[in-house]
Amino acid sequence: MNLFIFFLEISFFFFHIFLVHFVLFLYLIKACLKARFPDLLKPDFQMRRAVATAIHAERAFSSRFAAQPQKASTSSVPDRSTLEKGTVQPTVLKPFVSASLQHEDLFNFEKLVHVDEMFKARLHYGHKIGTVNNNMKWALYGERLGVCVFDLDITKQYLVRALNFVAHVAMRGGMILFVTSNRDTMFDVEKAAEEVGQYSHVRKWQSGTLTNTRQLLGASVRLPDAVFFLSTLTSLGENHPAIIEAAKMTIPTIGVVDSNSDPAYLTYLIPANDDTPQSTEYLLRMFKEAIRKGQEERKRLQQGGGK
Amino acid sequence: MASFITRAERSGNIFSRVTGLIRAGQLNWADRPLWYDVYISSPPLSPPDWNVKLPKFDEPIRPIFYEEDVLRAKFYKTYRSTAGIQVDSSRTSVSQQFINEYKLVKSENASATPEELFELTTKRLNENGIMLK
Repeated sequence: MNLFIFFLEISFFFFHIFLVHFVLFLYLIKACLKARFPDLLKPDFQMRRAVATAIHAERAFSSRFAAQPQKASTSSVPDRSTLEKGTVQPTVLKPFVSASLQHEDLFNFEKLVHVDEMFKARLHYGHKIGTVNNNMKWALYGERLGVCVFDLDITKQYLVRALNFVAHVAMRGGMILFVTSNRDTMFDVEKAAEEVGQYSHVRKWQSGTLTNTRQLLGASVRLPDAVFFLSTLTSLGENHPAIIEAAKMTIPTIGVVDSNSDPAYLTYLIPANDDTPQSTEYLLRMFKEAIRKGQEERKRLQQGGGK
Repeated sequence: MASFITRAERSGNIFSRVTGLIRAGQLNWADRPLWYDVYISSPPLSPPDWNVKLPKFDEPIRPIFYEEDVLRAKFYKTYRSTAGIQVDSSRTSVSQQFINEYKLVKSENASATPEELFELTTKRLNENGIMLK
């Protein structure tokens, strides 16, 4: 028995010596190669950097897709004082944008959204009054036996505005990200985004997914042009971290805000119930329809312009 | 260049920050982001600022009550509910039938007290085959 342990120790000893020598040998080879071919061990580093800067130039806003189709119809560049007024009152800049944006409701969403359909989809139910957010009281019709009830006339107005925005972004080839952290609806959201060729994020949000892409993904990526939140709260009742990140990167956000949600930092609000499957299904159906309409219009314009 | 945009999200909403870049000459009008034109033509209905106080802030929420709520409450206090009510169905529930009948009875006997009207309505429903227990 003792003899056996002795042999074991001896063999371990020799094995370690062998390992150390082998590693040293590898280093030697590497040093030799480096001396002879200095470029070999850092392949196309220069090229990669060039590509990264090139992508970076168009990354933050994906401006490559921005104004090109409309350039012909854009009358001119607004002067300083117009821009100054426009900072407060954006509609002042309306003469400087394309003809398709001069319509009030190009895709006819006023006809698509019905209050009775929203009522049947249970969009009007809020949470208990104890959980109400002070900044959501504007959207409430009242409180029935301790439960908040939304005014669907207000909801319709806001929903039409948001659908119009999404459709026009899709028409300009924009990328729309669907976000939720609600586990009941995550698969519906993923499916809906896939159906219209857009993107979704329904799992745990890693901080920096929008703000620190280079570190997280190892390359510069194109950020979404709009983010659609189907529920703005996490399961802990905290604001979704992506809202702040999108605001930092100046990405417009569309948020379905329930009576207990915080509308801060969101660009377009839709006051409605975000918990019931019927309600989320209705909202997803509307947004899919809006994106489809935008994409069809884009296709139509491209075919018309190609002739 | 667009990457000069400030990430201090509280310094202004997304539109004013991008417009600020254009005004300062850091961003060309032609290089404006994709959503910018759409935002101009249909800006959000409520200001997208993080610290804005939207209407009815700090105001009490209006309670929603109907005239028949009192009568319905009295109905269910007196007679136990016999079955669940299906909200989607077009059939009128027993309590709704009672309320409809009560209104009729009230229009016929203007001078009767609420207790008498309640009794009368119960009698009327019993005659029509709706037994209330």
